[in-house]
Amino acid sequence: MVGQRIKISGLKEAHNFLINVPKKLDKYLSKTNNDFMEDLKNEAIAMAPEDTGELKASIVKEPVRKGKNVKIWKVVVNAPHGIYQEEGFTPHYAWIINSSKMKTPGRYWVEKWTPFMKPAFKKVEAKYLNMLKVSTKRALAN
Amino acid sequence: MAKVDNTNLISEPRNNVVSLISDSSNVVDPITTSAEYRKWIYSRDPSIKNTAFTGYPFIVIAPVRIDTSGSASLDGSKRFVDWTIDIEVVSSDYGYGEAAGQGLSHNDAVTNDILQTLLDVDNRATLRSQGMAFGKPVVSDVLIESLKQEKVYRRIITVPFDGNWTKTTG
Repeated sequence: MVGQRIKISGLKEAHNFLINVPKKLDKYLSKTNNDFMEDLKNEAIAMAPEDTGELKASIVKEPVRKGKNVKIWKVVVNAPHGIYQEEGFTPHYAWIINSSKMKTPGRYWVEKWTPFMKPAFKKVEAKYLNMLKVSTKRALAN
Repeated sequence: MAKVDNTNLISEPRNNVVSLISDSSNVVDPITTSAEYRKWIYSRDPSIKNTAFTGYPFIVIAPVRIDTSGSASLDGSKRFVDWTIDIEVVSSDYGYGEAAGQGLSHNDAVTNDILQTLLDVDNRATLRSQGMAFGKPVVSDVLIESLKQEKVYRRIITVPFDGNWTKTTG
């Protein structure tokens, strides 16, 4: 629950407050969303499994669309094997040619995957709700 | 503790909060006595597989987030600065003997102590004198993470310090 006391005296002040609230909310909540996506990206990088480091390096934060005043971001996993680590796969033999663990290229049995995006989201979600409460209070107070 | 000004805008807000939380008369470590020392306050999640890890519960006080976009004085030497600090309390049910199954109660006890410390009138006056007024903690629900047979309880306390009139120029 967000608690905030607002004192307004006079119609002009009430008018100004109502005009400015959406702008301030937009400013503060956009910053909060940016912070949240940065946290999510960092947490996903920390939780992603590491072999060659390609998966961790491919996790990036990007604007949803190109432009000057973009306020919506997304976290993207560019490595093609990211989706299989996240969602799992049927155990199978696979040709592995580039791995720090299997030094000799060859056919190996692969059966283990490590989800990282969903656990990362779950971990930062609670913080995001706190951040939203704080930024809403700030928008209304300033 | 030190006054926050243009020389320490990022470091000192966190140091001041850490000073309060790390004082064992403010926040009591539920698994050690006052005669023992255990590192249990970190700036990020510790590696729990590391031999230096001293066990649950522990507290993570993250680096501060700062917003300096507030209004400034006419000469630009001072401005309104906002800080936000996240404090995470992490505990686990996994342990031996009396420590087993204490995750939630440890988490509640440590969170109680932290809130009591941050809301205490004297501590708030101390923080205000160091340029960190108006801290109003926001507390999240308990997040339960299952790591194989272990249940880890995580609670996040977000403390914003809003609208502090701070010297930003030498």
